[in-house]
Formats: sequence, C-alpha cells, structure tokens
Amino acid sequence: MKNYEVVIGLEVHVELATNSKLFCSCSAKFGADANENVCPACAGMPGMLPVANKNAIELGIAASLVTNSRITPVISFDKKNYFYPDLSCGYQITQLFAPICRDGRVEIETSKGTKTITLKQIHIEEDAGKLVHSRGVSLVDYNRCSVPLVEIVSNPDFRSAEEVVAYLEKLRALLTFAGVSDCKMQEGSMRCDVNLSVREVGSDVLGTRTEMKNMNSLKAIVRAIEYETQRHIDALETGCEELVQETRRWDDNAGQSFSMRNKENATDYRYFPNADLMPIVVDEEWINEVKSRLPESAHDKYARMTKELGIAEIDAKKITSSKNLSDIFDALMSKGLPAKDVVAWIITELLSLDTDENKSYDDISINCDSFAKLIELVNNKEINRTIAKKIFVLIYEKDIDPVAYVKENNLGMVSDTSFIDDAVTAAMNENPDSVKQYREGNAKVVGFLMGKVMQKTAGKADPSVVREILMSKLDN
Amino acid sequence: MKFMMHDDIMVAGKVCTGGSKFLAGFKSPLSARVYEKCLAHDMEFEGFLTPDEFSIDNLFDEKDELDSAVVALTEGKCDVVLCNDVFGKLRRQAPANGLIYIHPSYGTVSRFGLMQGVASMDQIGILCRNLEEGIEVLNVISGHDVSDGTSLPAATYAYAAKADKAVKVVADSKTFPVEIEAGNIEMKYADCFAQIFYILGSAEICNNTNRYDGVKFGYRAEDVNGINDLYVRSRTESFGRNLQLASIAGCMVLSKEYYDGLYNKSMQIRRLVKDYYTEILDNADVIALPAKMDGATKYEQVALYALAPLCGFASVSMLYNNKPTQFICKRNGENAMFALAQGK
Repeated sequence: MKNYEVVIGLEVHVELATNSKLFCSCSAKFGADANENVCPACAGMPGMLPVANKNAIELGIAASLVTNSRITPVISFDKKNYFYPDLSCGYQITQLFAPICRDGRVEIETSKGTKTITLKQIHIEEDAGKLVHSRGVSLVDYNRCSVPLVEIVSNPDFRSAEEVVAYLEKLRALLTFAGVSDCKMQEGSMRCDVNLSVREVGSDVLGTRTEMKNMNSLKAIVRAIEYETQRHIDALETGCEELVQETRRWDDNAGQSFSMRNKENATDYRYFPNADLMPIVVDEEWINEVKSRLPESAHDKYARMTKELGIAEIDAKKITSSKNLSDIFDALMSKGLPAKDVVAWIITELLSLDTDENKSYDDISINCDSFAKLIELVNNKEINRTIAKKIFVLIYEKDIDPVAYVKENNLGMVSDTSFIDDAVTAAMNENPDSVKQYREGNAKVVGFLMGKVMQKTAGKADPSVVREILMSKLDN
Repeated sequence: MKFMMHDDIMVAGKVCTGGSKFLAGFKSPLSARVYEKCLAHDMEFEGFLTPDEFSIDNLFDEKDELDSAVVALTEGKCDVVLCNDVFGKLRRQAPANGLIYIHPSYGTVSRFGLMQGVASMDQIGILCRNLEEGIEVLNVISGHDVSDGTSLPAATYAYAAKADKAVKVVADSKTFPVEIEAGNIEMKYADCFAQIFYILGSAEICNNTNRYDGVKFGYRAEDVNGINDLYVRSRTESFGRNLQLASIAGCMVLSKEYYDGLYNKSMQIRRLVKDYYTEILDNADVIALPAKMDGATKYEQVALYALAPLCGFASVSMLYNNKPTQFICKRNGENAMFALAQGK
C-alpha cells in the first residue's frame, strides 16, 4: 500500500455570548420555550430592518485578537440567499466580501510538538432557526434565528485527528477566556464542519474533498475523521468506489458517514452586499479599546499561577484548561484564601466529585461563597478534614451553608485537651495489646489507636491534638 | 392635514397587503415610523390605498394605469399620500395630473415599517397638491431613526423653500430639453441608467421577497407535495407577473454565472454615476430633467427616474412652465431646490 496522509480544513461555528440577537433586540439565550425569543424582525416579517449589535461586532474583534488575525479596517455585511424553513427571511446575513478579519494563527500542541494552524478568515453571521420533526409534521422554532455567530475558517493545515482535537480545545480556551463564547458543543454553541481529503505523502495536489457538517462532539469528530480517512484510502487503493466532492452526514451511532446526495452541492447562494446595513469602520482606537477590556487569557493565567503563585505546572494546566474552573479558582482566590489550599481543594476534591465522562470541567457548578467558607472553616481549625469532605459533597449537591450546617449538627472540631485526654486514656485502657505492641517497637498501631480515639470523640477531635496527646502517653 | 398611505407602509393591527395577493389579509405587527410621526403631528389618517405589488411598478410591461395615490388626490380624498416610488411611476404621473411628488434624500426618512422592495433605493415620498404642504409633511416624517441602519444621524431637518442666493440650475438641453434657463451639462451614463436600474432593482426585489415563502405567514398553497412544492406553488399562485419576472431576473443577475458581468458591473457603474453627478451638484444646486418624454416608451423613460434613486438624491417632480419637470439635488440642497420649484 502507498503511504497516505489526510488533509483536513475546519469551519468552526461559535455562537457569540451576547445578550441579544445580531440584528434585533430579542434575547439570544439558549433553552427558552419554542418561539419565545422571536420578534417581527427575526421572524422575517416585512418592514423590519436589521440594526447591527455593537456587542457582537466587539466579540468578533475579540475573536480576531486572540487568533492573531488581521482585522479588516472597514467591514460589511452580505446576504446569502437560499430557501429553507428555518431561515425566516429566505436569506442569511453574513460576511463574504469584507469579513471581520483574515490570516489568523493558532498554535497547538500535540504529541509531536507545537504546530501553527493558519486561518483563512473569521466572519460574523446570523444563525438559523431549528426544525422539530414529530409525528409527520415539521415545526419551526425561530429562537436561534439571528443569534450571532462567528465562523472561523482554517486553511487545510491539519494532518491528523489529534491535531484537530488540539485545535478545537485551543480555540475553546482562547474564546471562552476572552468571553467571546461559552463554546458548549453539546448545546450547539460550538459546531464544526470537517473538510477532508487524502493524498499520497509528498504530493502537493489535494485529493477529492468531502465535507461533514455540524459535528458537535470531539469524540464524534475523531471517529468521523478516522472513518472517512479510511474510506478515502480504500477508495484510492481498491477503486471500490469513486470519490466525489460532496457533503456527507456522519451517523455517530452507526459509526459511518452517508452521502447526502441532494442538490446542496450545486446550490448557488447568490451572495450580494446587504444594502440595509452600512459598512462599519473598525479603527485602531476601537480595537485598542476592545483589547484593553479583554480578560486574562488562559496562557497569561497559567504563567501567573506557576510563576507568581508557585502552583505546580500540572495543576495550573488542569485549572486553565477550563474557563469555568479558572473562574472558580479566581472566585476562591478573591476571598483571600492561600493559593495552595485553593488548588488542593479544586484538584483533589472538586474534580473527583463527579466523574461522569460525558461531563466536562465546564459543566461543574458550585456555590463558590460556600466553597470558600468551608476552606476557611478547615484552615481556622473549626472542623477537621474528614467532616469537611462530607460537608463539601452537601454543598455541591444541595448548596447548603457550611457555617450553619456545622452549628446545627454540632460538628465543630474539639481541641479541648482534657476531653481528648480522657478519650486517649480510655482508648489505651481498652486496647492494652496495641499499647504493648507499640512499646515493643511496632509503630504501625498508632493509626489504629488514633482511629479509636476519633471514634470516641464522634470524629470531631482535632487530629493533631489527638496525635500529640496519644504519643506523649505512649512514649511515657 | 389629512393623509393616506400606500399599504406597503404598515400600521399595527391593520391589514397591509403591499398590493400583493401573498399578503391578502395580513395584519401588520408594527407601525411604520412615518405613520407614527404623522399621528404625533396631529395629521389625520384617512386610510390605505393599494400600490402596485410592493411598489415595483409594471416593470416588465408598458401598462401605465393611474396609480391609486394619484386618483385619491385628484378626487380630493386627502391632502397628501405617502408612497414608495423607486421606478418612477409617481414622478411620471404626478405632473401629468397637476400634482407634485417629493422624493426625499436617501436616509433622511426612515424606511422602518415600509415593505422592502429595493432596499438601497426604497424611499418614502410625498404626493401632494401644493409644495408648501409637501414640505410641511417632509419636516414631519424626516429625521433619524435607530430602527433603520441606513438612517442618517440628523435628528430633525428644517426644510423650507428658501435660497440664500440665485439657484444655479444645470441641464443637458440637447438630449433632455427642459423649459428653464440652465447651464449646460452632459448627462453622462444616461444610456445605461435603465439597464443598471433594472439589474440592481430586480436583484434586490428578488432577495427581499424571499421571505414570502408560505412557511410562516401570508399565502400558502394547498395540497402541496413537499417543501419545494410549497415554495414554488405558494409564490407562483400569489405573485403577480411583474414580481415573478423581477424575481427571475434578480435570481439570474446574482447567479455565479452573471454576478460579475451584470450585478457587480452595475454596482461599479452606479459608483461612477454617483461620483460624476455628485461633482456636478458640488458646482450647481439643481439638475433639471424632463419628467416625461413625448413619444418615448415607458422603458425608455425609466432613465429619467433612475438618477435620484441610484445616487440617493432628492427630487421634486412637477409642472414647471407647464412642462412635466424634475428637479434633482443632493442632500442638504433641498431648500434651494424647493425655492426654485416654488418660483413657479
């Protein structure tokens, strides 16, 4: 068999984190009842005119900045014509001739080292609505109609599924940290079209390309790339099928891609300038203003955590891999807690609470005020760690107030030495064999005796005080 | 003052058809900005008149029936009618019937609530019996509107028929003779006005009427066989002949095959036209043109009405020295133009 390589380009759609839609004032929030966020404009009624959402343009500028792109000095909007029931106006407002930026660069890291992925362009456009098919009827939900998106178009720079995943994760970090989007693939706020072809290694001619649209999970993307690559190679090697340029549908359950053999590939979208929207000047002053308001990037936060706060690289990497985790970290730090405690609680406790593999770090939700109070209770020696872990689960699951809970359930740590002294004496008297073993040189039994003392104090004793008293009695 | 409107200028809760069978019985969810402004200035709304389908005139035939607005005014049903005249029907018919049509500068009057036809040229104008009343209404309906992205920033305008100095008029007397003393200019590009006007106009009409698809509101064909059949039949059964032809022509000029040669070329010529005539109006106040040419077909006369919409200029169409005449000026030149028009 010849040596083949896969060549992949990506078109990534990312919904912008604006409150309102791109050209009207309807809410752009996900999860509303069908057609709740719809007005005459986004429903395609006559007489309504689009007015560009300034915030969406600024998030477009932010996306351009974090991808090191060249921002277009004067941007404009165009109309893309096609008929589909989820497109209320019969055209989509997008950018063809003067997109928000071009020529971006995103650096990724893979097992083979760092690589730069180059971007052709990023353009701002409106999303379409959603069709719901049930019992032989099709219903249209226009909530998503005109929700702002950016489409990030890469050059065909990818040579493996690993690179694709590294890029998507990097994009997600860049865009979530910049506040451009929440990039939730499962909610469709980040979607990916995969353009793929295969050629012999060393060839500089691209093979026949197929496109798989609207992929919305990393796992499915990896599987689809692997399947489609093999299908292309098989076709080239055996001639069992002819490769045609087409759009294919990935069926993740079947683990196969299927030809969509419709006329879509032949659609002429008849793009032309949108006369309802004037060109927008994006000058240096505006760009600098947006730049100055950009939140700390994952990269800068990582540097600050490792260099200034002395946090281990592996932990800093984990926390900065998710905007959500970083936000939790920042929220706890803002309460004046020591960095090492915050990191320890996040990495060893928070991340082990919910190990459902379908959930990502971005799905973790916890009341940070209560979380901080709990760490304070431990640090102030008001409760011990064993009880703290139990309360932590309750905060996560039921959002309880730890201070009130400790008080109500009388869980405060006991440091009263005479009370502990009595418990230690009782435990030693009840277990003379263990005491004897210790005095004959078996240090391991200390743990057993510690446990007995803790039992007697209902788990509330300060373990360090228990240990101190126990040791002094054993050694006497 | 009593006013009427073509019903492609919408009023909330009222049936607005835009002259189209597609929108028969369509109750508007909103009111046009111009309507609200008229009411706020104590003007009395006397009702709707039916326009040609989405005010696109009989683009593709030579029929020239009197517009409902002209009829209403001559019958004395009201004092002014608000309407959208891109292709020249009202500017052609107003002088012939002793009326005046004021076509404002693009961006001075909000298009919010006007059913789109040719977005880059749509312009609500005023059909009136005398110029003073027309100017008064123009002052009412003009001014910035946040709901229209092409609206110019000035909050209000103070239009009046007054000129600080003698109004400088220019005309191409050889090709387009007018009954007024005027400096001579060459009406450059006039031979292709009609073509680029039709190409750009049909492209935008085609696009703006995509929304009438039978899915959400308006006419819906019955017993359809799938979604494509729904589109094709809903539109075929409800669109008039001129709209159908404009849609087909627009679809063609925007197609990959013809975009560069027709649409884009027309946009480039439009730019040249705008530059050339803007420069002329930097050195003169008003361009005078006939509002009707004897012996010319309707299509041939379209060139007369293309200049103002193509360039976003304002115009007044009226009888001047008993001849159907158009005066054209650029934005902020309206007062001199009105002063000239008021002279007769």
